[in-house]
Amino acid sequence: MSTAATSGAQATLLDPQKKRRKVSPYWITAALFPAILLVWFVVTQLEVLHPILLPGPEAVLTSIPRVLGSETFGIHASRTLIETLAGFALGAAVGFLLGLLLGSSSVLRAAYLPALSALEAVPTVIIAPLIIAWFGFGIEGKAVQAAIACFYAVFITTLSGLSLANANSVSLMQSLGASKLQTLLKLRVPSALPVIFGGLQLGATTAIIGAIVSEFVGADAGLGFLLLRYRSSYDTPAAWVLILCFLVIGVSAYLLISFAEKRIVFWRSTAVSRPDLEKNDH
Amino acid sequence: MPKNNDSKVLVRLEGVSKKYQSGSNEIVALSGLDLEAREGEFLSLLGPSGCGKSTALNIMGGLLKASEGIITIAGEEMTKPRRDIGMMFQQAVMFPWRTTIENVLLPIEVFGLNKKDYVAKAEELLEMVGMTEFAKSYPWQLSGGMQQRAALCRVLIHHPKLLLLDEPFGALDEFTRETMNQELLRLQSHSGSTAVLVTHNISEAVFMSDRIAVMSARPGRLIGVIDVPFERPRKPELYGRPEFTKLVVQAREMLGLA
Repeated sequence: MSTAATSGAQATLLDPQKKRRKVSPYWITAALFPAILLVWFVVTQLEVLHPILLPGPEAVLTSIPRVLGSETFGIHASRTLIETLAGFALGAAVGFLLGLLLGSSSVLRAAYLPALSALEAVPTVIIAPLIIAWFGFGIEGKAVQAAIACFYAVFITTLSGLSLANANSVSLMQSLGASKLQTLLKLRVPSALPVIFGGLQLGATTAIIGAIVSEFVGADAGLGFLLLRYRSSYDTPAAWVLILCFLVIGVSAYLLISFAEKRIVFWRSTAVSRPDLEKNDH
Repeated sequence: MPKNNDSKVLVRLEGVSKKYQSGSNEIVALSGLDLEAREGEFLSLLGPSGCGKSTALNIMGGLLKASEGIITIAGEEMTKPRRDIGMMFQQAVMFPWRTTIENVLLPIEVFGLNKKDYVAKAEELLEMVGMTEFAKSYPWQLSGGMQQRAALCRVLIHHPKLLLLDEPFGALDEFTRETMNQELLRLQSHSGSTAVLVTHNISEAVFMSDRIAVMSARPGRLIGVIDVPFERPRKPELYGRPEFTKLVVQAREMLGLA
């Protein structure tokens, strides 16, 4: 009992071998880049494809200042970012609330789950023209498109996450005479959070795709719009720079959500086994 | 520790049965159980798995509905979970996103009472089980035994009249389990609550109880009740006394193990 619950660092100290073997996964990720660049370089040197179709890495890298430095880049980039963020916020909120609603009522679930799942099967490209017809070429339509693209991932993970609450915990709440709402808020939602964060990760990616695809279909600004313009002027290196931009946006979204997850679902990321204490059977 | 028959009855079960439909078969989990627990007494439900002891406990707690029979608690017919009942399960059931003290205060939150009024009580209970320095720790930083100590504080926080204990220390090792049983007895007599313990451990039942309801399986029914006359507080020396062994043998005979 004298061993105070200090920190998880203790667990790794007790297992020095594990510490020695551990290589940061980021190094492995970083090692991939030179490899990709090398293959890319070799392929373009051999001129397997015409440089207009596939420019070499040096052409793309030297185009970065030109593309990012252009007068309108800021406008296009912020446009796409706003569309994505607003769409993601809207879609995630709607998905979460619908998940709560259907998760709390088996009748609603039976009535609406098939319809909502069918909606997910409709490709973005098909809805995009309709959305443009309803909302115009501006930000609103793109945000709605991004929301539609991401809501389902958050909705379905919320819905399935709510059923993950430990059966004993449900019995405990029941024995206390907890209302359905209390059980939902105090037990089911926290239990579902790890899964919901998976949905948010997926949703962030699909929101970006939703925004860009709808810019392809018809827009007056945005990175997707810009990409089309570079492509039609056969400025392929610049188009590739924009593809790199999408990558950066995607990775940033992933890192931001991971950061939030570590803070909010702290009991998952910080929970470590304590070999210095007796084993807990679960 | 009232043991005389004049003391008031807190829980009364009359002809309580529980049947499940499994396909076309009807499974009788519990058949015609007549039982009562008096105020302040420690009653054990002892029997092999499948004897319906947990079913009986869950019915008393309002988690299950009886198929037949009447359950009254403090003179009122039982229809749903009551606030003057506290249940403990085999697992500690701590919410990992709450600190120990927040877990202990969970019933207060669910009841919609002011948590501030109960913080001192929670701290006092944690102190009684030697957990003061772990009040701000999370469950995953605690051992299984410490988690069950916290669960014990949680069940006592709202001062329930009736404690329903479903093998609360069944997942712990033998040593921790014995210490925890002692803690439980101490806190139960301190609070004056009535306790109903479900167990399949015969000597545990004899050590803890004022009375033992011995049950048999398939269908779950009551075989008989053993009175345990030992004084309180119960000391571990009790295990060595011949009267203790006699009661263990009596229980074994009733269960058909002798």
